[in-house]
Amino acid sequence: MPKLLALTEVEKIANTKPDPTVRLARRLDIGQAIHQGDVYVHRVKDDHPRGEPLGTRQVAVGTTVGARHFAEGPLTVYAGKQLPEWVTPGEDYETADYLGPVVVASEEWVLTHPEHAHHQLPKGTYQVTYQINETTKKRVVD
Amino acid sequence: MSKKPYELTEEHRAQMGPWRDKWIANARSTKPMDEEDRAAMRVAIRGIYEAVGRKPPLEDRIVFVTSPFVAAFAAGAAAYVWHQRGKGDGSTVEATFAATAEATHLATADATFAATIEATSLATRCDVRVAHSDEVGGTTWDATSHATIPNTPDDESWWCTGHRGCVEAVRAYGDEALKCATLSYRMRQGGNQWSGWAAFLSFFRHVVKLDIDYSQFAHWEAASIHGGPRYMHQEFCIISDRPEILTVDDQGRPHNETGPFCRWRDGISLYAIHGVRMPAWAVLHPEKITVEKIRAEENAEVRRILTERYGIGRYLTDTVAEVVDVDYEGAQKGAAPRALLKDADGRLWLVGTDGSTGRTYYMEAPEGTPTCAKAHVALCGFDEFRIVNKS
Repeated sequence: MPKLLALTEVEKIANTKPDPTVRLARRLDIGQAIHQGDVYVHRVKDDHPRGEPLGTRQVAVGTTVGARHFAEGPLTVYAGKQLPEWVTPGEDYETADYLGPVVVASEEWVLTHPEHAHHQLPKGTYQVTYQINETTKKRVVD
Repeated sequence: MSKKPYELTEEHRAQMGPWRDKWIANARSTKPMDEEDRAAMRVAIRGIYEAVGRKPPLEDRIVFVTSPFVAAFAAGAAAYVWHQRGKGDGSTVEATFAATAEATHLATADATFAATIEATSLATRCDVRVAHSDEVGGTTWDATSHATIPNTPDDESWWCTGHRGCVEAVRAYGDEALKCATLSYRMRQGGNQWSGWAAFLSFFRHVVKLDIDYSQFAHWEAASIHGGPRYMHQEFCIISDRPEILTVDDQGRPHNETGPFCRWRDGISLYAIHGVRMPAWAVLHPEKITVEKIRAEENAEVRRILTERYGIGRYLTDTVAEVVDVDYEGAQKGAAPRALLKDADGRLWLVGTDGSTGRTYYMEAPEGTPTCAKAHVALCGFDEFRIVNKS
């Protein structure tokens, strides 16, 4: 395909009008997920394995603006222990590259971020997973 | 009988905006600390120690330095010295201190030896001030991550000189000193740059006038107004000046596309574009950005900005990108077009947007990936039909 076509496609993506409004999910079934930046939040069963409470509401690792994915609401954030069964690590990766914390919310809650649109989610148990970076062979850092 | 909880009144609500703006201005202040500030800080620091039942440091162990970089390194090293003294290992400390001081003095361009005592004198010995501000171009030093060695110093940078001094000092002290230096963040308080909490509490003190004893908080509030970031140790307190340059974008994020967004008077500079910390060379010399440097960058946000500064069209042209697949990622909200491109080296790139920030991301995909959807599966580990909303 001619290279100009690539330019056209990228321009199409770059010109997509952003929608910064809250993503509202009134219902999220087990096995469904939402995506915010490099973070995925999966609805899992209430008995999904989890570790100790982390004492934080931040669900991504780091201190940069990009890492400020926060779980807000009546909830507790626990250490993650196991990926949802539908998440399969790639050949060059380990579970730890994808695994984030578990969020247990007793009421509706919001996943916030200073730049990405917020997600409003129903009460329940959620497993956070991360995107991986094929260039570094690690989880995405931003 | 318990007191009635406070409820926000319209009168108080009306003062929230001006109060916020006043404290934001305080956080962004570039006024150099003067004698009045230093005097106020000495009182405030003593008051803070006393408020928590600690004996304040001696007067000459409340040290004022030019930047958080100097404060961070000096605090870590000085803490190590005091730690060793506590263990009764004074002879070793004295020997290594002398060696380190010499090494550091030789390595720093304009070290200042102030008349402070023992451990805290290290603070001024580590001052890495430079005589010529135009030498600062290469620094990528993060004042709050002082133990991290930057990977992009320019050869001509003062940074190399100052950093060599620090490394020599650490070598002289050994691994334990390095540990102390890297843990100095535990002593850190952001001073005027961490105005948020002080703004909140002081609103209730000065505007609402809650019936609370604020006599101890008053010292904290004063330290949030009169000084920059500080390192508080039981034996000393090291306080940084405010920066001379501090610029932000329209969303209040650190930002300057042509120079440092933050520079202290000793020349130490930080660079950022729309909140993303950048290496100095990429801001000061965008003409030095190459395809190879973009590919080598591990941080996704930095790589995105490097690509944007290089020019997306130029990047694709230079890499002779070929379109492998295009589609429209499905989601109830946040759906957006995307493309899978192959560059001249055969590397695959999933190009897409998150649907909420207007940003375009370039994510490398595994070799042989045939479609956009499979590229995303490879990056997230699960089938994307499960994704309901995205941003």
